[in-house]
Amino acid sequence: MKKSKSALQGWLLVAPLLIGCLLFYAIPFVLVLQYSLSTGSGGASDFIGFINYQDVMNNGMFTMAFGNTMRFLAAGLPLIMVLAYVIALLMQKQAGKHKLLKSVFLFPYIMPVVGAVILVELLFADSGLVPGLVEVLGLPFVDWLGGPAAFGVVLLLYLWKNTGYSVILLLAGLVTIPEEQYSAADLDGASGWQKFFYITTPQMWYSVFFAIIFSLINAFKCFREIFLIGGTHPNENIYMLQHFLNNSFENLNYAKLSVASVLLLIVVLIVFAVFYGFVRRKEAFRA
Amino acid sequence: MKRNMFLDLSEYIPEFQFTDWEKLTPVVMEAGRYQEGQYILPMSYTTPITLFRKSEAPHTHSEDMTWDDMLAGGPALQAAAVMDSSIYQGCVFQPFTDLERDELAFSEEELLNFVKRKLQVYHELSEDVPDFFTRRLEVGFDVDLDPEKFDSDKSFSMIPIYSLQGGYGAMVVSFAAVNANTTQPEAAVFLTDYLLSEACQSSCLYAYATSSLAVPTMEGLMQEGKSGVSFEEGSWRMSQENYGTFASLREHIAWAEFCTPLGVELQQLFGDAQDSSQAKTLEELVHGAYMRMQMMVAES
Repeated sequence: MKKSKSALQGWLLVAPLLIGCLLFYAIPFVLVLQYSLSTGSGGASDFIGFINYQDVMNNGMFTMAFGNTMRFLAAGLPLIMVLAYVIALLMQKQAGKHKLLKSVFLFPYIMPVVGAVILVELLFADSGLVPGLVEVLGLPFVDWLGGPAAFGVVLLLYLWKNTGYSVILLLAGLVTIPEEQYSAADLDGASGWQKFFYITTPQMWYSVFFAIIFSLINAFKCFREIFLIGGTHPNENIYMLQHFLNNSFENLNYAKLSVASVLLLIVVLIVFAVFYGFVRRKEAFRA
Repeated sequence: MKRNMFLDLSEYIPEFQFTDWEKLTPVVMEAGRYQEGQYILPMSYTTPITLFRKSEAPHTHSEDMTWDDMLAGGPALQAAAVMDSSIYQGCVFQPFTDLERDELAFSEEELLNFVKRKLQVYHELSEDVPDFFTRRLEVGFDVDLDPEKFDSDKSFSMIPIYSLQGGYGAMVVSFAAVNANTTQPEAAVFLTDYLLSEACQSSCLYAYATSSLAVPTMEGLMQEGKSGVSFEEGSWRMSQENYGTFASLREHIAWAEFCTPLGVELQQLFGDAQDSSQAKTLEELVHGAYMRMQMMVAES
């Protein structure tokens, strides 16, 4: 009796969260799946199977947007992790003494989107600092925001804005590693690389995993800056999946929008599952 | 229509009370048909035309003439082929989009060749070209013409822009349709019926939004002796001779498509191509415009 009462209380406590998840995640997800398998909406909806998936995957612009997004993630995530890890390792010993240093790294992350875009425009627009410098040096004109170089600019913006956040996450993991382990390794004559591979890395997998997850989320958030820089239809090198989704929504094309969302979800889940399995094995081995 | 957003009006059309279906331009109404059903009712349409004095540049409308034939013709035809800078100049490509595959129906190379040839003829246009005005086919298109050039002789030739494949088309500017999810189909259809009636097609109710852009789908309104179409402070009609030319133009329309934002991209492309301060090459401009148009079609 006590157990069931306790269980009921537990259910009541989580009920608001469950209702919210149901209303704002579960039901919309089911609707997205429905839209992706049908044409029309509401009472005029007709089930057509996987025809929408066929149409979308055969569409050159969708595959280009998908490819650009995967290219951005494939370049951005490793770069941000390496950069953040290096900075976090360098700061490991100083983190306790210089608290302001940690805050400084977060300044780009908290900068408003519009501010970041204005900075990019000041630097890379046709009348900006970088093209001016290129002209003074006698180098050929480069369209930094409207040409192939836009991909590099956007990647740089992503790294500048979000590295600090990953540094904080990794630093939080680094400071939990007992100092005695490094002291013992020093006594045994271990080199810096050996300490990194045998002491630091095995204890950092979960921190790295979470840093990657948040970097992935921030990579998708980068669409806001890309949208403000390039508009609804930017240069083909920075035409991302979010542009396709956003514009399809404006055109009330819920079928295409839903298909693109489901395909993206599948890819993200696969990547997440592979990496999570890897981290779990590493942690299980360590335990 | 392909996405099942509109109600099939085929069963309601025979019951229309206000609309005289026989007086609606058939080829324009065809644009609203999809798989044997009439889903959309075009209310007004247009096509780019170049006006000449009929005595200086007579023209017989044809469904076989091509854009290449225009370029190989006399100065008047060349001017009609290249001087239009509106958002409808894309009617040279027919069809413009492949709706089954959600992509443009022409290649980037074809677009580049078209732009190059148009610019070449534009810059080399003979000085012997008769006086002309480029216009959209729209209510009141002859009202503000330069009186020094046309006042003494207002009989026009109306030369459209022929497509690369042959013939010329119309662009549907406004239309009426009923949401497929409507809970009051009879009421919605009743309103739709009225929008295509003579009273609405010739009145301010219709003309307020579209008279500066197109002509009504209903035939016979704009000639002498008829009610005319509301325009500024009164009603607008054409002279009997000009109406005859207009009727010939309308009779030879080979197809009708819906006006889309893709035309704005083409218009911008030609503007940029003629901008001497443009840092990008023509190939880069065409590539950028082509990719943006492909994106827009893919998302539609």
